[in-house]
This record gives sequence, C-alpha cells and structure tokens, in this order.
Amino acid sequence: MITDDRAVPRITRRRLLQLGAVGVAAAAGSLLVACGGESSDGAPAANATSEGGSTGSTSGTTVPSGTDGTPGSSDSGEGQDEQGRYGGVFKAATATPPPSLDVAINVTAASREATLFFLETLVTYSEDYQVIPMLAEKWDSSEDGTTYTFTLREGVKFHNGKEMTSEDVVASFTRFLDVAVRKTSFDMIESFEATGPYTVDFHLKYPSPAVLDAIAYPAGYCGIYPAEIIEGKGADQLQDTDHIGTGPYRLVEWKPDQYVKLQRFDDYQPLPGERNGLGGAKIPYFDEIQLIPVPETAARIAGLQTGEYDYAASPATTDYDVLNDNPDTTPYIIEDSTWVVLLFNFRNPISSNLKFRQAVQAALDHEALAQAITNGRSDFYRLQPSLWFPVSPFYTEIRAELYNQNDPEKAKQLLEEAGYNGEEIVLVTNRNYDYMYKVIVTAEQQLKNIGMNTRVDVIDWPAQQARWTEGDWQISTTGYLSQALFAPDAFGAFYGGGGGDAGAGYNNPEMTQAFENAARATTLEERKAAFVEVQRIFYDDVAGIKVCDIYALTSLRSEIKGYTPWYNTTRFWGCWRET
Amino acid sequence: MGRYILRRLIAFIPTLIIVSFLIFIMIYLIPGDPVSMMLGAEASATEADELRRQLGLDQPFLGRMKTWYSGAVRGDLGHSLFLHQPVTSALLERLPVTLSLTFCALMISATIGITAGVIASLRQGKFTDWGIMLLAIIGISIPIFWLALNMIFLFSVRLGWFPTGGYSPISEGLGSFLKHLFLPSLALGLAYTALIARMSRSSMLEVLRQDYVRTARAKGLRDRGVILVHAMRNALIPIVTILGLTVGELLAGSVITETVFNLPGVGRLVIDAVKRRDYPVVQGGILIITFTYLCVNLLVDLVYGWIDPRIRYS
Repeated sequence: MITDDRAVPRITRRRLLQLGAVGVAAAAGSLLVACGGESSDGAPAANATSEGGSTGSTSGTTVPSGTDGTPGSSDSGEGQDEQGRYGGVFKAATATPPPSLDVAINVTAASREATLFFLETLVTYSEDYQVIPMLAEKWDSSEDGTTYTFTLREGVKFHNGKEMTSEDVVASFTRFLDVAVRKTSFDMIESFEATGPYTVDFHLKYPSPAVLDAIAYPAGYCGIYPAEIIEGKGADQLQDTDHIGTGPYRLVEWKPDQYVKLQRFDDYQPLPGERNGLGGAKIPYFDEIQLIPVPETAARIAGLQTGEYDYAASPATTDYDVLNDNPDTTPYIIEDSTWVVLLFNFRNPISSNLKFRQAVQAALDHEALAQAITNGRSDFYRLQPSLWFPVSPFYTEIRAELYNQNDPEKAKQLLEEAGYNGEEIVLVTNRNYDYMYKVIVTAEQQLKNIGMNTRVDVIDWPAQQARWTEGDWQISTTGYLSQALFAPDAFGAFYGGGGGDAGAGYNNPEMTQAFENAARATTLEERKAAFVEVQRIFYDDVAGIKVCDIYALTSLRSEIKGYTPWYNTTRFWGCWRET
Repeated sequence: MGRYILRRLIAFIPTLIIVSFLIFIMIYLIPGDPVSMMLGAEASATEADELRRQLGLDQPFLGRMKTWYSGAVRGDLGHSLFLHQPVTSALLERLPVTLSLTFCALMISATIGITAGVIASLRQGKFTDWGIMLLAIIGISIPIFWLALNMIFLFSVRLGWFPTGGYSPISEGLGSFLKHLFLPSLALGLAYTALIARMSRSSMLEVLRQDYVRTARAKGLRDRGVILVHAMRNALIPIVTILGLTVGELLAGSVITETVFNLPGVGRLVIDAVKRRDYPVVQGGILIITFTYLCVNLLVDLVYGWIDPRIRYS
C-alpha cells in the first residue's frame, strides 16, 4: 500500500513539503508586504548655497513656450549667478552605456557623453560651433601657417592634484596619435613639442587651420591626461583609475552597463564668463552625477515621470505631448540633431551605375519619408538640401533642385536608361535605430512604384555595418550628426577617402580632391568654397541621398534649472536643482 | 544517490561542450564585429584591421576556438572586449540578480498557478473554472514586454508603489531588495503562472478521478485531507516537471524583463554583448545559463524521488 511505502520517511518528507509550501507562500507574502514599504529612492536635497556661474545662448534648440522659468528660458546668460545652487545628486537615464571610456579608440556618443565631464581638450567648440580655447589660453599660428603655438592656462589642476603643463599635453597627443581611430584627421601634423612649461608647438606638413577642428572635435578626441599616466598606454589599456582629467567632475566609479558615477572636482576653476558650447564656464553645481543606462525608452520616461531620474535621454516623438503636459517634466527639441541618408553600394554593379542612382534620387518623396520617420509629426523634421545644418558656416543650397524631386516619371525614364531589367534590389536596414528602419521601408514602397523589384533585409546594426563592405546589396541607410555641424571634414572618411575602403566603397577622385582642398584651406571662405564643391559632387554623382533633418528630443524634471540642449549631448555643468 | 548525482554532473560536460561549440559557430557566422561598434562607420579598413589584430579577432576560427576551450577547462572564460574585466567575474557579479529574479518569479508563478489550478479542478465546469482558465489563456497570450511596461505605468507612474526599475542588492536591505524585484518578478512570473495553472488543473482532474481518491472519500476523510494529502501529492509530479521547464523559460524571459526593468543581470548582459558583438561574454553567458538550467533539471529529477519514494535512482 502506498501508505505503507511511506511509513518510515513519511513525517519528514511531508513536513518538509509542508514547510516548502509555507516557504513559497511566505516568500510571495513578503514580496507583497514589501510593496507597502517606504521609498528607497530620492536624491539628496540641494544646498541653498549661491555661487557664480553663467550660461551661453541657445542655438538650434527650441524650448516649449509657456513654461516660465524652464531651463531653456533661464539659460539666457543672465541671472544664473544668483540662481545656481550647489548640492544634490543628479541621475541621468541615458539610452546606451559607454562601451569604453578610452575615447581615443571609441567614437560612440555614449563614450563622448560620459567622458566630457572629466576630460578636457586644448580647444573646443562654442555654442555657435566655432573653435574656442579650453585648456589652451590661446593659440597663435606662424606666418606661413605651418606652426601652431598653444599657450596653456596656468594653474589648471588634474584630479590627482598635479598641475597641467606642456609635458602632459605632449604625452597625451603622443599616445593619442599612436592609437586613435581618428588619426587620419590629424594627417597634417608633422610633429609637436613642448617649448616651455606652458607652451606647445604643433608643426604641420602644410598650412591647415583644420588642425583646430581636428583637436576640438568631441568624438574620438584627445583628452589631456597626466603624462605619468598616459605614457606608454596602448589602445584600450587605460584602467578605470587612469581616467584622471581636468574636467569639472572626476570619475569615481564606472560599472560597465550599470552606471558612471562622477563627483564634483572641488579644485576645478571654471573659466570666466558664460557656459559656451563645450567650453566657457563649467560650474559643477551637483555634488554627484550618475549616468545610468536604461535601454528601454518607456522605462526611462516612466522613471522621469516618477522622479527617479532627473533626465531621460531620447524620448520618442509620441512622448512629447505627455512630457509637455506634465508640469513635472520638460521636453526639449534639438533641431540640429541628425540627418538621414540613403547609401548606395559602390561595390555592386547595379548601384554603382550613376543612372540607377539618379533614378532613385528622382523617385523619392522626401516629405512622405520624413512623415514616416517622425510618426507624422511635421514639427520634428526639416526638409533642406544642405549636407550642413543652417547654423553651420558651410550651409549651402547648391543643387537644391536635385533634392526631393518626387518625380516618378523621370525616375522610370532614368531606370530604363540604366538598363535595369527587374533585378532584385536589396535594401538593408536595422531595427536598432527606428528612423533607419522606417526610412527604408517607406522608400522601398516608393521604389516599387517606379517598377523596381525590391527586397528589404532587416538585420541588426553591427551586422549592417559589416554588410557595407559586401557587394550583395544596393541601398542602405545611416544618419549624420557632428559632420553636419562642426566637423565637415569627417564626411571625408565616408565619401572622400580616396581608397574607397571606408563605408560603402565610394571612390571619386574629384570628391577626394574637394576634401583635400578643404583640409588645406587657410581661410573660412576657401574652406566654404571647398565644401560647396563637396555638396555639388554629392548631388551630381549621387554619392548618397540626403532625406531630411530629424530633430531629437530630450527631457528633464522641471525643477532642474540651467539646462540648455546643445549638440545632442549631455551637458549638466551649469545646471542645478531648484528646491 | 550521491553516485547518481555525480554521474549526472559528469553528463553535463558533453552537453556544455556541444552548446558552447554551437554558440561558437553561431557567433562566428553572425556578421559584424566589435570593431565596427568601437570605431564607427567612418573608420578605414586599415584602422579596423589594426584594432582587430590588437583584440585578437584576426585569428582563424580554429585558433580562437582552441584558445577559448583551453581557457574554459581552467575556469577562464576569457576577457570581455568592452567591460574591462574577466567574463567569469562579470557573470558572477550579475548572476545573483538573474537568480533572484528567476526565483521570485518562480515563487509567484508556482504559488498562484498551483492554487488556481487546484481550485479550477475542484470547480470543474463551473464559473470559477471557466474564469480561471480564461485568465490563464489571457496570461499565456500577453507578451512579457507589454505586460511589464503596463505594470510600470500603473504601479510606478500612476500609483507610485514601486520604482520603475533598477536593482537594490539584498545587502542594502530586504525591503528595498524585494521592492525593486516585485514588479519584474510579477511580470515574468504571471506569463508562466498560466501554464502552471493549466497543468495543475489537468493533473489534479486526472488524480481526482482515480479509485483511491473515491475510496478515501468513502472512508469519510474530509475533502481537505483528500485533496491536500492524497490527491495533491500524486498530482505534483507533472507539475514539478513543468516547474523545472518553467525555470528554463524564466531564465530566457529574464532577458526581456531585465532590459525593461533595467536590472543588471546575466540576461541583459548577454543581450548587450550580442548587440556589440562582445563574443567572450556571449559565449560565457549562454554557457552559465545552460549550466544553471542543467542544474535545475537535476534538481527536478531529485525532487521526483522525494515526492514519490517508489522512484529509485540507479
């Protein structure tokens, strides 16, 4: 009988089973009990200490109207001295974690955003995207334009207490140019040397003011480290404790994928004046800043609404009204954010045919593409032909007539001239970036309408990048940001490389020469002329198709003051919590 | 028993070798590499090749596999390309999060699922049975992702009862630990509650129809005793099987839950690693998840014998 079988161990097992059941219930119960517990969150209250500081002007940003005292409206450069309050912890929910803090070998936005709090450059960009001094007090160029002498600010302290001198600058650039992924942007540099404790000479192979842009460009940049730390360090050999810079915050802890913790550097001496782009006065009001990657957009926004986060990166356009209607949150629109491009594969016989590319160029209805990307929100995109944003000195409307043609009949004619015979056209995109997916899916429909036999391959972003070097596709997509603002030379890596080994294999000597001319130009006028030529070739040769400028969104708690969105980056110095 | 466990543990080895080999091949075949994530599209092929060489990604397939396996047998799963730490320590750091989440979700789904299933079986054909099974079907059909986001909206944003995400280690207090874990566990557990409820119901129904239950009732035993002592025990074996399988599903589901609730667990680590092609972490992460699943299966087999002493291990 069953009961007999159980005779010996019965009590023990039964009791244990019962205890197990009780344990299950108790665990579930304790979870429920915990629901009513007190909140474990909340940033420390800000101190009411007033301190000097100021901000720069807005550029290319829009702050919602009707929100008195919003960060945007208070950031006029006046009154912050009296308003700024020290103290508190600022928690920022970012979209992606930095894959590395070694920015010499990493150009991602996440790495840039995390490191700009503790690293500084010799020169940087102002609010209106001009090169301005940062760690260098000034620079002078020789008459022939081949030597740039940077005079360093005296008394600038590293986070380890040591004063920054020319020795540190030389060591940092030596290591940078050895390992940097952007080293080709510094091709004009012949050598550099310390000519005094506070002066460094950069000798160039040819006159090139572009060296200033190369140094100031904030992605894959040369941050200045103490010489004894940076000397001899290879690519990605910097340890967490090596990240000692001169910035307003010092790195306390980096837990990959979890957080970057930064604390105010008490010995930081802000420049006089106002906050100005990535330069000017950088007042570290918060005691601590935490950058917490929260990959899910809805979770970031929820955390902002509940006050768990003070900042939520990249809300969806559909979140804008919700955030704007909530008095506790303020959304910001960054107009100069990204422009969307359709790429052609120049390693493929079909898409390397100019007539084929012209057919695509003629077929597309950019308005419809932009509407699809922004979920029909006309206030979140801009249709303009230039490769540079209107705020850039290189903005030009040359070949505007070839932009947004939306002429299916012309497209069909060009397709016929191209000898297209119904071959399958492969469009490659990904779902990591929503806009890339939507633009390709919508473009596919428009291309079908002119008689193309299309197929969309949806893969992930790393796979898409790898696919660019293959020959088995015709059309793909990506987006540009910095290039359209203050780093026009950076387009050269994709379109003017000469060797055609970067990006999708575009190789046009005429274009390469135009970028070369820009790099060697000695005046702004010459540089602009070179970039006008770049845009002309871009359209005439259909090196790619510019679709539209799409705006970015960002959002903060309304009690955070002093914030101005700029260059799609996190810039929380000069911000404080209004209590 | 000890010999049985040892034999089973040894049997893990070929399984783990096969799994890691398959993962190795898959990773090798997937296009894209960490270099493109580090350098961006603007880097030239020369620059990319240089970094590949520095990271050891230029080695041939067999060379990389040999390096990895020779390290793995010594307990060294390699070094993350992005995290600046050994894969083993990265995984061990995150394993408690995933195990806590899985355990809490299992507690929730087992408690609610078994209770609902038993009640439904006792009220077969009635409104309660119908209602529970309807809820079960809805529960199975709702994607975890959608459920999790709506829970955040209701319980965190609207009611303010729970944080929207994040993790608080138990060392910082049990209350905070459970509070951070409750919503993720509920979202993850509810989906599998439905499955357990349906299995519990059918298993109980089968047992309740057997002669010995009728005999027990005829002897005058109270319903409670018949159900909890006699019927429940025999119905438990298929339920425990489902619970074991559920752990595997929960481990897989934790990938989504950890992402939505921003929990620094193994699931999210593996997802992030896949996105940026951090090969050693993908390899190590899946190996750890496989090993955990194998251990749970072993545990389930041992529990069979505990529940039913007629089952003998040989």
